[in-house]
Amino acid sequence: MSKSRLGQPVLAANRNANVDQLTPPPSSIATGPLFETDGTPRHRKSASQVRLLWVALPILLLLLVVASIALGSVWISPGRIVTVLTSQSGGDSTARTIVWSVRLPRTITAVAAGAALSVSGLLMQTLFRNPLADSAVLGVSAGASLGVAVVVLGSTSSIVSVGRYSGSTTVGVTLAAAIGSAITLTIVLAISHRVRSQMIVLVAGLMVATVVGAIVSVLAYFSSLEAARSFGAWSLGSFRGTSWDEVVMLCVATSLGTIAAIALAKSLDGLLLGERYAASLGLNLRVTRIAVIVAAALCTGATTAFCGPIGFLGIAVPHLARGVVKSGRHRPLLIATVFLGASLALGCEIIAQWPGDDRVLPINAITALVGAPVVLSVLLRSGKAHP
Amino acid sequence: MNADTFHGVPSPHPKTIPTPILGADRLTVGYRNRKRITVTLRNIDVRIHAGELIAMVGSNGAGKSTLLRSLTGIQPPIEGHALLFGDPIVRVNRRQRAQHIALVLADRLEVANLTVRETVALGRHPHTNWGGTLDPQDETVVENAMNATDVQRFADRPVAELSDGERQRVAIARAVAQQPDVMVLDEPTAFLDPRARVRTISLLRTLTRNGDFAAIVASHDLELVLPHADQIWVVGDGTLITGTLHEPVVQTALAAQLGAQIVTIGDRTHVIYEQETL
Repeated sequence: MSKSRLGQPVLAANRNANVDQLTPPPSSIATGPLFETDGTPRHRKSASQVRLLWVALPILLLLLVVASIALGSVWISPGRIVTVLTSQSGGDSTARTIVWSVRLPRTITAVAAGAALSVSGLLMQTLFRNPLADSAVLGVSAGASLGVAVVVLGSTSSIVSVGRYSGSTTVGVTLAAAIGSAITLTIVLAISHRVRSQMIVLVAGLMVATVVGAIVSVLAYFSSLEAARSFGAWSLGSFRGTSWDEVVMLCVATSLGTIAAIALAKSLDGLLLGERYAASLGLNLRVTRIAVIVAAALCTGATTAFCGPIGFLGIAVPHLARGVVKSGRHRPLLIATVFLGASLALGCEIIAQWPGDDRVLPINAITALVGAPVVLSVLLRSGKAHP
Repeated sequence: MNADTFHGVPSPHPKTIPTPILGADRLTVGYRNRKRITVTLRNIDVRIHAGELIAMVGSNGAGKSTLLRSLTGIQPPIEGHALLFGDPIVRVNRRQRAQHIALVLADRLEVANLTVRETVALGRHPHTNWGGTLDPQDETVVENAMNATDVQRFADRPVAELSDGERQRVAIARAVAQQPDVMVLDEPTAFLDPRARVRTISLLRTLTRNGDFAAIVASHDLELVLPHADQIWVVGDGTLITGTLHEPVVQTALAAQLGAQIVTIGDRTHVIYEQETL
């Protein structure tokens, strides 16, 4: 049996032969305009606006990066930042220390974490076909926390303290968190295949998060006081205090996840139609599902390992991205999500460290203030669409 | 049937008998659960040629969906073969299958916030590279599909804003853009209002007659699909009866399976259901 039986020449021959042979009975049905030869695509009105967007988004992010390094308890002018970053010994040593050991790691962490959480949120919203899915809602962050807890609380806890991993443990903690994420994501996905209601899936995710949280509490109960305390501090969530080892690890893992997501863009577009239609387009559902879970787990796992659970970015940013891109296709959506996620995380971090003040607000309070209204507006809109 | 290609024996009439797009050769369909086999339909022999509209009718649970799944290669047969251009369809890979067979479901089309054009363009997936970029030819196919199904008017609107009938036309436009040889529609009118039902079936009749694909429509709307169909498949009692509307064997099967009688008044065909008193 040769594959060429399915090739075009055979088809063409069949078509010509059959169209002539078949003379269907006459009918009185109305006919619409048919296969007009003039099928040239129309130009999209918003093409220039969209092109402007791809310039505006990077500029916004760049401005926020500069602001994040400049602002804080001490103001460092952009000129000094450039000197400190470009020359080996230029600039004063105080500015040098602040930039290299505090503000630059914090900025890069916020950028990577914000982008990764938002990308994983978009992946989960598509995978579950649910506009309210993200790593926090589905219990995936909790799964990552469990991974971290097993490594941190289970090891010789006086040496390892959370948020201050040594070089070798960064890899272990990232892996543990990613595996924890992947497992919870798989469990919730299995549940979502059993129940058809989207809302029940969200409640199921909440239950999984609660169970996993309970396991973490038990682990913490049996660990040393010091480890439990540092774990408690970590679980509040923060973009600060990451070492350069951790920053590198975070960037590597989240970049891998994001690149995987962009490579999956076509399959994700297909998934928008639902699984049966996606399969009818030739998509291998099992492979796609696994790939999406791995990409989302890398993003969520790495971020949660080094920043703790951060809420609302994952759910809110994809909706903001859809708003500005004005498309549901994943390639532009993912790129906009990366920029907006990084920008929003940086913006929240800048607000958390209110300029000229030594106090730092908890980052999750800021992300909730920004994210919750977005979620509410999505709820209200979906309520209108399905009365 | 199809001995010419499948068993390597040349056909006696290679020029006059074109290979059917889709066919079944002593096909038995059903489910395999570990060791237990549940047979739904036995000994099915069918052929589908380009341009044909096939109405598949039968009561719920009779096995319409199982047969569709086996014919399109989603579910392996218990016995016999489902054939795509003479080749066993289970041996055709996913992408190639998708280049030949398109699907339309009963469910309301939900595509997040894709526009109509973006949704129709998804039909090009089996024909594009891994990145899914459309070349000018793909774009033309998409525009033609939208023109043919009369959804061009709302091409740039989100699908979420459309009525159920309009959405189903978009679902069909997407399937047309897939440039299939056969379009399989599983109760495409199930959730539509009467007017949208008529439009949908009329559209399918026009598309199959003018386009170059066949359509299998599984439907409960007998009065809509039967008069337009080139072949009628009646599913029931563990087997499949095929023929045209005016063949006695088909009329007997319709009466037995669905309690439906065919009455022709003038040039119009009507379906009358038996009155059953409780």
